[in-house]
Amino acid sequence: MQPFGDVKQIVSAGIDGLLFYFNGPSLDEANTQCLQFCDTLASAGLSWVRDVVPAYDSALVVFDALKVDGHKVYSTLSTLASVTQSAFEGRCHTLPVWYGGKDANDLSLVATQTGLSENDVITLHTSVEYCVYAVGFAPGFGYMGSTPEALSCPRLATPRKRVPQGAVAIADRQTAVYPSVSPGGWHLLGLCPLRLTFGQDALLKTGDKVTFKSINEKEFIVLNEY
Amino acid sequence: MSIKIIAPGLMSIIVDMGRVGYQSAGYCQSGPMDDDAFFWANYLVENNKATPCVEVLGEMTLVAKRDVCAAITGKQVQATINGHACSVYETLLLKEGDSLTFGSQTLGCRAYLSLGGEWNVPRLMNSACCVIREELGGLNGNGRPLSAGDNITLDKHRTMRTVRCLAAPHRPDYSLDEAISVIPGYQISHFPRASHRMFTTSIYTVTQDISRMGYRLSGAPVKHNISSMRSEAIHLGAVQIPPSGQPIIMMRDRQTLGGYPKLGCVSPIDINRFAQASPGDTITFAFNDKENERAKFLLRQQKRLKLTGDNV
Repeated sequence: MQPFGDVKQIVSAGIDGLLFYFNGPSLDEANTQCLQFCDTLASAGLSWVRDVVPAYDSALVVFDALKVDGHKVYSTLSTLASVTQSAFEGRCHTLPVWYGGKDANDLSLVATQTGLSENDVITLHTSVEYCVYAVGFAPGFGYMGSTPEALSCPRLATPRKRVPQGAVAIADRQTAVYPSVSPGGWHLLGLCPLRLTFGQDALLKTGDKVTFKSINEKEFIVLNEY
Repeated sequence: MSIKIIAPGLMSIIVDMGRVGYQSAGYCQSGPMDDDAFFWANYLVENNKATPCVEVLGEMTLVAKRDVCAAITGKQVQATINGHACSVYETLLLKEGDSLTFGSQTLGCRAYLSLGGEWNVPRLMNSACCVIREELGGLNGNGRPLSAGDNITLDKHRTMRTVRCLAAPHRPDYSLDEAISVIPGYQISHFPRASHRMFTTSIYTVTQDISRMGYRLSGAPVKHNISSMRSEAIHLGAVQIPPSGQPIIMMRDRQTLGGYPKLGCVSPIDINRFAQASPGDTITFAFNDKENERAKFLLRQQKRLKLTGDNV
């Protein structure tokens, strides 16, 4: 299948899935192209589309194989993408963080690994606006990037068996908040008091923008939604 | 109440056709591991095809609290009513007080129980599917598997005058003698040709490490030199190759995203047969074109239509 528009490559995923990869001079732009494509697809309301799963620079389109085949999907989507220009805009969130919060405090470890002071770690983590590149791993878990280069640190050598709910974490140039208790291999910076999943809905969606704000323990207790 | 569970077996959960359209929020697809057995179980009690069933590992015992029709399907399943052997792949007309015990003869294989009527269980994201890891779905909506003492309540009990039966030749074929079809896709073009051959000419053993998320296999390592890639959506049956080279087949409760290279996806025609493999079973794989596999998929649908009338 030939690439079209901002799509640089298309590969098969079974009889009922096509995976589209997007072009862009930077990951941010590829991610934007990907989300515009997903948005266009959602607005088109095609009855045979069963699921659309975006992540970073790719989107899996799952279709009803009883109704259509990959060729029909390809021709429909390539036409759609060339005539529609979606202006996809994510929402903006400010997430409060009690840095160094209970059971979620690897600040000294991160400081050692990065050569920064604990305060610098917090300052750097709150200094940029992050983009939610993908939601997955667990319901409502948003992969956000990119953290400042100086804050980059590898995953833990041995993953933790239990990361507390609301833990704010970093790994490589990514950051995330754990929506529920789970195992995890990222370094923990603190706790976010806000709920990230509400039944079927999740606070963070792919394409949203996020900034973090430092709060203290007292503010955390007041804001705590868990 | 309609039935009371006396012994849940090793692990029993409520399943239906799964959650469609919520993977972008991180919720897994879920659904029955063996959707053939699931389909026939509902047919046998005249249920709508999307009605929940119980997916059972091990042996389950339940007591009917009122007259209710039921059916048992799956791989090498057997059942008794009040201690007497009864049919499988056939409608069972349980009387109030009857005790039904059933399961697969092979440890690790799944049996399905359907009950005729409308299930009074919570639907979250249009599905009753129980996902333990997500603490979602099931009898109380909190992702807890079924346990002794649980009651399943049906709202509209189906009374059937005639018994439905699926004759042996039409039952799912669970033999693992023939290769499992894999549709090439994902990163396959980045795998060396020698790895394609290694994958399709070697025998893989199903390890103990199998779950609704994925099945780990052991055998000849599949090599590649893809150093890193961005996480992307994982479709049902995806053949993931981690750095060890030992394939992992991604199943119904797989995580939505992952960053391991993939060779393609197990065909939906073979995914049920594969899902019913148990530790120690040996498997071979063959690459098959997706048009071919879709044709087989459509044929299977035609066959179901013929056997069931307009029930599909």
